[in-house]
Amino acid sequence: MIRKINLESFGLYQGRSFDFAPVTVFVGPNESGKTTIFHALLDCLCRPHGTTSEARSLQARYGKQRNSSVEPADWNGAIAVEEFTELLAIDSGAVTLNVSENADWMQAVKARLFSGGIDPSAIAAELQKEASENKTYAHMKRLKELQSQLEEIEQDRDRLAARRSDILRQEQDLQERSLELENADRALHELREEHARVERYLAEQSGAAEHERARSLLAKIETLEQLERELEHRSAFADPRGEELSRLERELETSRERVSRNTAAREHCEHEREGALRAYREAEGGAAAAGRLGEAAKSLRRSLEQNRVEPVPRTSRRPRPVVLAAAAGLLAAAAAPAVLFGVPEGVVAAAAVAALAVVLAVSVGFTRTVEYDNTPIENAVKRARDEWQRETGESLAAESYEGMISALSSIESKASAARDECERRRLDLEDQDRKLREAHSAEQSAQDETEQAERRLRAFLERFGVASTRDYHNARAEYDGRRRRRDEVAEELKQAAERYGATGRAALRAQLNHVVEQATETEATPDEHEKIKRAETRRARLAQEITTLQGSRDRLAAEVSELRGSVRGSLGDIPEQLLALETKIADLEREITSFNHRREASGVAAEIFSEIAAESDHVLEDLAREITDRLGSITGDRRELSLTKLALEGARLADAGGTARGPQQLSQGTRDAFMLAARLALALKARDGNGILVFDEPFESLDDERTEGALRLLHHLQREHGTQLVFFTKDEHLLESCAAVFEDVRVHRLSRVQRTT
Amino acid sequence: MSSIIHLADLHLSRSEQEYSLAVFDEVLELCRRTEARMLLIAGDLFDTYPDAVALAPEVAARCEKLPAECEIVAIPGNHEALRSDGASIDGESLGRITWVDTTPFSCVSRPELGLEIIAVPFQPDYAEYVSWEFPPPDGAVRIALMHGTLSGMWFSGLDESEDETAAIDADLFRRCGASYAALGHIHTARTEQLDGCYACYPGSARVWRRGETGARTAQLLDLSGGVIRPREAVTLETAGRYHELELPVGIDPDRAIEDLDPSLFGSADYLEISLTGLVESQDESARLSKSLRQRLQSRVRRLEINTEQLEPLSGFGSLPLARRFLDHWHERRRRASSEEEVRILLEARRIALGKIKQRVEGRR
Repeated sequence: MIRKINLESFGLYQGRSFDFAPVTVFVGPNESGKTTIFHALLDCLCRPHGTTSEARSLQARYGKQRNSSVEPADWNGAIAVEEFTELLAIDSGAVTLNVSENADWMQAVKARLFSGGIDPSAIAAELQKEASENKTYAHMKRLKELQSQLEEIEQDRDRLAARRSDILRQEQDLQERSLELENADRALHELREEHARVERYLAEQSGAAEHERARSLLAKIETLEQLERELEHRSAFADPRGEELSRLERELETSRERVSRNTAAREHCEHEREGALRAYREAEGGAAAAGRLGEAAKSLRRSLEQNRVEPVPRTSRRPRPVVLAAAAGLLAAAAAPAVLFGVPEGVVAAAAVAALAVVLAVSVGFTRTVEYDNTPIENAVKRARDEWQRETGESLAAESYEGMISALSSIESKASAARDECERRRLDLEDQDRKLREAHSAEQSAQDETEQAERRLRAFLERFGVASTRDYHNARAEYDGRRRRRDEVAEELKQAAERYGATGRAALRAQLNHVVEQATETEATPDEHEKIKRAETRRARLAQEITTLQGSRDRLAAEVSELRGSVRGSLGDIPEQLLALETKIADLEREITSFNHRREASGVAAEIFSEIAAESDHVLEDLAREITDRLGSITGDRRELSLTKLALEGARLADAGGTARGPQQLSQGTRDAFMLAARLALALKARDGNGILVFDEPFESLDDERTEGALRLLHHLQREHGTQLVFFTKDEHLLESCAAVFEDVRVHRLSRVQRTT
Repeated sequence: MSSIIHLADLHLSRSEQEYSLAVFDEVLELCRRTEARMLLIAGDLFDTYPDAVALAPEVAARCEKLPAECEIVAIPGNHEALRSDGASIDGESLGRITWVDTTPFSCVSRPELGLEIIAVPFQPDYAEYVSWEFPPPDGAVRIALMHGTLSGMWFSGLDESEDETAAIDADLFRRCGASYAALGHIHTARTEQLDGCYACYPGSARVWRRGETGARTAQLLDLSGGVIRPREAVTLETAGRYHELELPVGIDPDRAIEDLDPSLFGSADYLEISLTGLVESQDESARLSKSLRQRLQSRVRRLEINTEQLEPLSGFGSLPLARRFLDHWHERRRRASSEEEVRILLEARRIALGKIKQRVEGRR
């Protein structure tokens, strides 16, 4: 409850204070200072500031240096201006339901009316936002982020699955090729066996078997030595290194992929950085321009404030023609008998009347008025405006001193905001620079890695004297073929040496040379000759087939060797990686589903809250009933009231004859009673009754009976809810009524203010 | 035609000995009823190594009663190694069970059935399978018996299995020539045909932990004319079910508890109830939990009541907006015809009551 108002300096009041009780009445005639106290109360409770109309009005009327406060201190500034003027301050004849739809007090009323203090529309709006698919909202950005993460991981998964399929296909290929190689080896073996049979036959049948065998064996010794020389020359291929080669190739491929990814990332960073640089330069330009204006504004504002000029008071006297005429008439009337009749007694009376006329003319024949001359201020403002025009080349629209200060302050604020924006852009640019450096570094590192991998691969190939992987595998297969051939020949010569009883290759060679020298040809029969001829043809064909098959077999062997090198170990941890990606995909899908569920659920909840908010009909009926009850307490009868919305145009009240009318069509007294009842109902909703109601001549248009009813109603509210009541009236009768109805009334009698003449 | 039964992840344990052995009994009874020639156990027969040591005699004794024609082949899963300090289960202690624990794999050949089992005991990493040399096919039907996670099989996250993924590539089945992969490790049942091979997880044979919804099953297989194919996923009734319920409480919370029908649950079931919504106080929350426990404790094998989502809000019962919201919500809940709708409504209710609570507390 407000206990006191202190008026240190407020209009005509200097160093005055007034105590407040639960019911406080200020009574006094017109111009006794009631309105000043009312305004002081508004000033204290609402502390209107800035350029609000209330602030301007109070300043114009009571000046800027006014000083007032209420006790306890926490009431100072406790009420919004709108709430005070639209709801809590009630003055007769001007009582309206002129509400600001979005004022805080109105929102509080709605919330309390519809949902016990919580506004369902506000929750519905919040949830609708959470359910919205608007791409600019944070949750939708997050969803998009999740979806793109999912796409990326799905692509990774697909790439990995494709790689797995490739490897398995190659592996299948390897199996098939290996089978083909086995078949080729088998066929080759069979051909060689047949060739050997034919050779043996020819050797035996020719009669120079021994000679031929020896020559053949000598040729084989030559072949063996040739093969040994070649194998020695290619000894680097002795150890199989196919797996190492495949690993090097894989490393190179992986590095190249990384370079490609990092290059794309770096290009993206460059693009971002260009954007940031552009934004910074724009902000820098803006800040410089705004800064220049801001400095000029600051300097001009300071100059204005330092050279502040006040309005000059000007006193003037003006004659009152009627009074002066009356005094002249009086003077003439006094002088007339003496002049006309010369009666001595009349001279005394005439002198008295004349004196009276003079006194009248001097005392009330002239009026004294004080006016304030604002010209110096206006001139100062105009000079400032001109100076601004000169300094900046721009114009300012402000006409008043306050407007000028406000406009200059606004320019200073804009300059400060532009500086902040510029700083933010600079930090952003630094951040982009850092990212770009990191991207460059990552790209460089990947390139280095690739170069190293290339070097390693090159070194490997150089070690074997080949130019490519394929060459390596071909050479390796060739090496294997020669080795096999060497082993076969060596085995054959070993058996021959045993047969000839020779120890070592040199002994065998000597033995064979001896056989060749000693051998004599024997004559064959014509049949045998023919047979031998066929056998020779067969041998030549077989040798040709063996050469062809050997060539294709060696090529096949090279392919198999290459495939085996690239397939073995390539699958590695791919199944594990695939599983990890599938897990991530499942997690992301779950998160997205849950995200969408939450969004959908928010939408459903928003629908329900909207439905609740829309169900205002019966709530308005309840309110109408409350207003009707209160109106009944004032008028003493019961009238039908319908409310379709919380505004004056939504109300229809029955008149005395029972016809429903809008409030503006009712009689003044009934309208005021209705408005009073409506204000009281709404004030109770807005503040739960725990507040203050200020009445300025509240019941002027009400008759005694309704006034009494209104007071009884207020008494009930005061007792029920503790509402503090403040009355301003010139009506002594109302004072008596208050004293009769309320228990604790504090009365302040005010008398008319004496003006200096 | 011969019947084969494929079982996995029974997790026999001393802590739930009666329950888990009852499920094993039901599996053995199923073998008898279907005259199965083989019971394949794809790992995690026991919950831990100490469980295996303690329960081996019980298990061996039960298997003794099985007809001689039915053979049991089992591989160790990852659980048999838990708390083992490097020790491994003695196959002899398991009586008639053929315990195959030779890595990387063994081939169990049963020519009389025309069947070969490629039994692969659990290994944390199967990446080397490409170098395994499987015996060449000789016309018998092959089954791969394995424990791990098969990649590429509509897998929905590791929470279904455990930390050890032990990834298996389906290519392994092709290499070993299997036409059926009897798998274990994933506790949700699923079957899929991959490159002509049925890959099947029968799911955990009993409710081992929370979240294992749906019936617990053993997979019944037909082996006929050199072809094997799944016939039926047989529900194991003694395993019970896991139920996860959200019980939204409103202005009249006792009513929500009374409306819950205990006859919906079986004595082997594992029931987890989450109370959601707003209550007047923490005490009220505890009271409701107690009341619910009294009502359901004796009806199910295991009951867990979660009150974490029950938010205390003093004066909640007299909040007009909360009342009106719940009136509207109940009307929508009554009209909801699909599980999806109900799920959205429950979420909407949680969100809405959260908003109301937020505002009431903000005002205070």
